[in-house]
Amino acid sequence: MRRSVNAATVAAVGIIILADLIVANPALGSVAGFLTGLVVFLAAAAAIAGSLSLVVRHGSRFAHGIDRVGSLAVLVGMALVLLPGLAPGSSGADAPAVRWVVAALLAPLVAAIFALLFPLLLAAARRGLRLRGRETALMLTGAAAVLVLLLPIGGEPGVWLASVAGWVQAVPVAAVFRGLLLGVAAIGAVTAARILLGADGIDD
Amino acid sequence: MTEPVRRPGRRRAWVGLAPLALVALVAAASALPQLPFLALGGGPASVAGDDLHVAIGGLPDQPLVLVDMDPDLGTYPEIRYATRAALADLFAVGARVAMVSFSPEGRAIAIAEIARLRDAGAGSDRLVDLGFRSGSEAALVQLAGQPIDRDVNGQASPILDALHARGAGLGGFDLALVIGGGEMSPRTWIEQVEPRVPGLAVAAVTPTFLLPEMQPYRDAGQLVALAGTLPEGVAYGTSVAAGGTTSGLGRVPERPPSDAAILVGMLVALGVLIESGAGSLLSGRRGPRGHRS
Amino acid sequence: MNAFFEAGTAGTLATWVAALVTLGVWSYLAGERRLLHVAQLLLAGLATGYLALLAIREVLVPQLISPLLADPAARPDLLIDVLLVAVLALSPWLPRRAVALPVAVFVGGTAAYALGGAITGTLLPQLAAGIVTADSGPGGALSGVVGLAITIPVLLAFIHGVPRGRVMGGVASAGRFILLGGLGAWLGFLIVSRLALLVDRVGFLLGDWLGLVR
Repeated sequence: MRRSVNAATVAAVGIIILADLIVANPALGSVAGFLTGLVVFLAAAAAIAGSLSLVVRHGSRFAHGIDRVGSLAVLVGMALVLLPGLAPGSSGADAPAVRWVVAALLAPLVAAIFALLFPLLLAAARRGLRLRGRETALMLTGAAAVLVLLLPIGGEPGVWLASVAGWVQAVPVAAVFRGLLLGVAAIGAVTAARILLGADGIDD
Repeated sequence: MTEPVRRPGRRRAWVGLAPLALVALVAAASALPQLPFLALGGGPASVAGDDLHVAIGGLPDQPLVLVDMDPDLGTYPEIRYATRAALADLFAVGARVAMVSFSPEGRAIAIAEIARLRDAGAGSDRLVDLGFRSGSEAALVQLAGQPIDRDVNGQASPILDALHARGAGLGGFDLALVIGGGEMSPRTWIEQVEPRVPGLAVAAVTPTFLLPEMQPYRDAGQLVALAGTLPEGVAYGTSVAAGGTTSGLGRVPERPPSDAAILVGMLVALGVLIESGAGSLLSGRRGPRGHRS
Repeated sequence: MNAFFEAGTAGTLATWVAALVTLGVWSYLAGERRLLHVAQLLLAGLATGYLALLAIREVLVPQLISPLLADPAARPDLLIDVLLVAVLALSPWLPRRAVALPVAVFVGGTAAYALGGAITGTLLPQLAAGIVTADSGPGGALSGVVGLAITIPVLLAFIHGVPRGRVMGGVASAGRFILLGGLGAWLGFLIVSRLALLVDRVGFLLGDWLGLVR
């Protein structure tokens, strides 16, 4: 009974929103608008649930002496943003203290981790050849060809290379990606339909 | 029974130092001055990234433009030059810009960019902050279906009054420029907004990892313009900087990435790919774990 | 250089902290893993806290709580919203049956947006774009034919479970190799993209921090 109520809710919400996409009806639009607004608020609520959960989990780990430094790092990170952002009179994310934390810690941490990806990507490409030689060699040939086309050469040769790179991007590469996109979109649509119809067993 | 190939200890040490050496090499190349024979994207004469310049140049007088600032903090450095060039390009044609974000990282970047533009002279008649909206697709659908009449602080704005005067919400904008990332990409815009607001032109600046998603949409005309790779973005930014003003909002306040450093890095990458392929062919390795046959 | 840093002491301090954080993360390249481990957890805390801050200050307070406190009778729909939001926000400590309703609404809405968007925003327009029309011109027609000759095998290779005879199997097999080549091209773009991130970080260290490069 509980499972069917939840499945019915999923289906009802989904059908109303889909119907609003197809049918222009003020009453339907009003209900769909309410549901859309509710989903927006629920997304925000999920963020808060995640934060509370993280605080409880790492607070517990710290109290029990499990990876104290790591758990403290998580809790300190959250406090550095939430305390100045939620303080009375604060302007939230636009507060100078929050902006400072973003500039000094959040942005450089992410950027530094992503910058590591270049040497790691090359290392992974190199290792890949040892595992599946023929397939990886084909991929790496494509990669090498694109690297040659993207060499930062100026003048007439650079303009010619950029034109060829543009054609490669616009015709063969785009065709491959269109096939991928169609496949991904088709599979995504089927999965979403299965969820709405309750076929995937998404319930409580 | 074949034995696994063991690397001698000295070679293992060299291989371990390789990433550090790579970083040092890139650093040394970054210190070089701009070399005349190098130009990422082919330089200002290149057609790469032209469609974005044409799309912005073709906007009506004092256009209303919605900028969705949603890059990732990690990949924003790749598109920062093109993004700032696009903002300068928009202000140079007299655009009135509303900025919104649907991802937390995008919001962090939007706050920083809005502060920078305010310092450069963007008043409330040129730039309005619509804040952050949670829920990704739901927030986009909500934005597409409701009037937009208040900024992030709940205040009215000359730009939103002008939008209201057109009698429309999202459809009243002349262009939506999506600065995309992993969490909110232009694909979400196209899938959620285009069926609901079919007349809205959508352009995008995205990092390269989104190219598989973006290229078919650009090809199909669902994106009116796209700067979807680093060379395209740099070529676009270079052409805007060359034709733009030297001060104020129309100035591109950014240098492109070092061509010499990019060249060195690409040559190293090419070398690694060629060495790996050649090594694999010459040693006759097949199958997993590199056992010699 | 990147608009995050303001002028003055605060900006200088932020630059130094950012530089030290960058070097701490990059110590991974020298074999030091503990700093990266701590940095990743610090990042998790910062990112989660920032998202919660935005959710509270820019979504729930201005759009839900403030209007409700100002005039509860004018917006009865918000009463339903605030109840479900509270249930979901406290979900880690509530019984599953209590949380089921807001989760069901969230899942139903998300699935509907995905389904509607995939069909009307991607599948139909992309299928239409793949058709070569009579007014394409010779260049456009050739590009279109080349595109179709690539797209169809790749699509067949991508979709599993499609019944295949010898011809279809051969086309799917060709599509698989074409797909690998295309992914290789994308890898090439990705290498350049990741290189730009490294160059930017190096530029920050040498320019903004050490002042060696202008």
